[in-house]
Amino acid sequence: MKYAFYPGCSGEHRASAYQDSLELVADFLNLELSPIPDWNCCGATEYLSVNRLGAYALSARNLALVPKGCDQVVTSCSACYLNLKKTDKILAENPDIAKDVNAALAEGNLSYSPGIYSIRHILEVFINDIGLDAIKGKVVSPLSGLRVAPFYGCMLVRPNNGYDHPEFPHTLDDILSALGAEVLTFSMKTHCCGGHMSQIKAITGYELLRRILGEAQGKGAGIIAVTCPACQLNLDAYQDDVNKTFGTNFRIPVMFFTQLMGLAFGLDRALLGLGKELISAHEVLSFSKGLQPGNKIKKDKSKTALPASGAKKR
Amino acid sequence: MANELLTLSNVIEKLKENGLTLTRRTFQYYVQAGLLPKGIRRGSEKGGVQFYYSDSIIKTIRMIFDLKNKGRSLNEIRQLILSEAQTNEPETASQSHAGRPLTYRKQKIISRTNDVEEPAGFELLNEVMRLTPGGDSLKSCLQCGTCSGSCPSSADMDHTPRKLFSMLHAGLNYEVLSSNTPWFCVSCYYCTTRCPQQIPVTEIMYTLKQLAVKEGITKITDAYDFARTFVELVEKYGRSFDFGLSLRYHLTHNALSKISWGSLALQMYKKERMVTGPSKIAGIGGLDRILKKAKKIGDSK
Repeated sequence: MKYAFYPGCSGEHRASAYQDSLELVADFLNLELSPIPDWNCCGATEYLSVNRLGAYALSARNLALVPKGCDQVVTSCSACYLNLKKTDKILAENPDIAKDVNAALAEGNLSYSPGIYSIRHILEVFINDIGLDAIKGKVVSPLSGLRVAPFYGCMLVRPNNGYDHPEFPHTLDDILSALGAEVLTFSMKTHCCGGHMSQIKAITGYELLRRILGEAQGKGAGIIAVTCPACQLNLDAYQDDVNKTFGTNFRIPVMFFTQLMGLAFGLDRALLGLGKELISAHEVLSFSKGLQPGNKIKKDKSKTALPASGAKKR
Repeated sequence: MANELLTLSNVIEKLKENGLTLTRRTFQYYVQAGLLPKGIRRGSEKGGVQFYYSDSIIKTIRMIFDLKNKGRSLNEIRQLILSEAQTNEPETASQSHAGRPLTYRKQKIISRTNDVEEPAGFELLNEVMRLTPGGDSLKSCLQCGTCSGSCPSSADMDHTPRKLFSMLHAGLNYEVLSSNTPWFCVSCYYCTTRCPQQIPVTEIMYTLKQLAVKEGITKITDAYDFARTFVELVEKYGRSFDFGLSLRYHLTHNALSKISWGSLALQMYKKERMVTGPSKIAGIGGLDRILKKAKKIGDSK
C-alpha cells in the first residue's frame, strides 16, 4: 500500500498544529505519505452551495493529481475527506456526471477514472494499517489521568465512512485509550460544531458549541480531542464568545488527536504544535514527559515525507 | 397551450409582424419589473447561454401595450397580468408566486403515472430530484419528521426540512426557494443517515441553494455572500485562505462584530495560525479553465 496525502488548506494556517503533529507522528510510525502535488481546495461546504459540477471538478482534480504508484488517498480534514470520498462515489455511480467532470478536467489536461483509490481518513489508517497494538507499543509517556472527551464531529463519520458507526463511533476512543488516556463517555461526540455558522450567524453556531462544551465540562473533561480543523477552530477560538453569550465559564483546551499521540510517543512538544491552541493546554498536559529534554527528537526535514507548505515559507 | 420556445430576437420579430415595436431594453425592463417571465436559461453547444420564452409571451406583451394605451401604470398592469394568469392559465400562475416568475423546463412525468405532462407546480420538485444524485427518493418522503427532529439548526429555519419537502410536493416553488432553511443547513448529515427512506436530505439542501442562486434569490441570509467570497478566493488562488475570506466578508457584513473579529484574528496571527499572504497554486490557469468549463456544462443541463 502506498499513500498519497491530501493536506487541505487549513493545515497551512489555522490548523498548522494538526499538520505538523501529523507529519511527525506519521514519520515516527514509519508511515510514508506522498503529498499530492499542487493540490487545490476541496471546496469545503461553500463551493457546492453555489455550483455542483464545479465542486465535483475541484475534488476530481485533486484525485487526478495523485502520484503514480499510490493506491490510497489519505487526508486529515473531515470536510476534505467527505468531499473527496463523496465525489469519487458519485462519479463512480453516475457515468454521465463522470463524463461531464472529465470534460471539464480535460481543459487542464487531466482525467480521472473514479473508484480506483481507497479514500481514507488518517484516523482510520492509524487504526487499521498501523493497529492499536503497535500504537500502544510505542507509548513511552502514557496520558494517564488525562480525562479526554473524544469529539468526532460530523463529516468524519457521516453520511457513512464504512468503518465506524455514524452516530456511535469508537475508533478515536480506541486510539486515546491506547495512549493511556481516560476516555469519557461523550454523547455529543458526533454532534455538529456549527461549521461556518460562527461566521454567518454566530448565535446559531455558539448554541451548538455550548451543547458540546456543556457536556464536556459536566463530565470533567480536561481536554477535548478532535479530528477536524473546523471543529478545533470553533471549539477553541469561539469558547470565549460562547462564555460571553451564555454566561458560562468554559475553559477546556481543544487538541488534535495527533498532538496527543505525539505527546504519548514522547515527541517534541513544540514540533507537535502545542501552544498554538488559544485555550492553553499547558497546565493540563504538564504531567507529560514530553517536556523532558531526553525525549526531544530533532525533526529531520529531509526525512519528512511532507514538504513545508508555501504559506509557512513566507 | 402551444409550447414553442422563442428567443428574444424571435419575440421582437413576431411583434414587428404585428406592427408592434419593442426594444430589447424595454423587454428586459418588463422582465425585471415582474411583468414578463424570466425565460428559460439554456446553454448552447457553442458556449454561452440563451434565454427562451414561451410563445404565450406575445399575448402578454400585447396586453401590456393595450393597458398602457389605456393609461394604466406598470404596477396596475402587473397585478392584472398576475390575476389573469391565475384565472386563465394555472401553469403560469404556479410559476409566479409573489409576482416572481419561476422558470423550469416542463418535463415528462417520471413517477406515478406514465407519459402524462407533469401537473403544474412540480417543476421545482422534478428539478431537485433530477439534479441531486439519489434525489429520486424525495418522492417517497413519508413526512415522518426524522430530518427535522435530527437537525441541530432547525430552530433557526423558517421551515423545518420536513415542512420544506411538503411545500416542495405542494408546488410552493417560490416559497421553497426563498426559504432560509437550506442556508441554515450545517451539513452535519444527521438527517441523511437517519432518513428511513434514504433521502439524501443534505444533498437536496445543496441543490436548493444552487437553484436559489440561479434564480437570483440570494439575500435570505449572509450565507450566500460568505459562500461567494469563499468561492471567489478559491477560484483566484486555488486554495482557501482564512484571513482574506474573513476580512473580505467581515468588511461587508456584521459590521458590529468586526471589533471582536479583529481581536480574534490578532490572537490567531500571534499563534501563527493565520497567514496574511495567499499562496497561489502553480496550476491556477488550468484550474480556472476546468472550473469555467464545469460551470458551462452545469448551466447547460
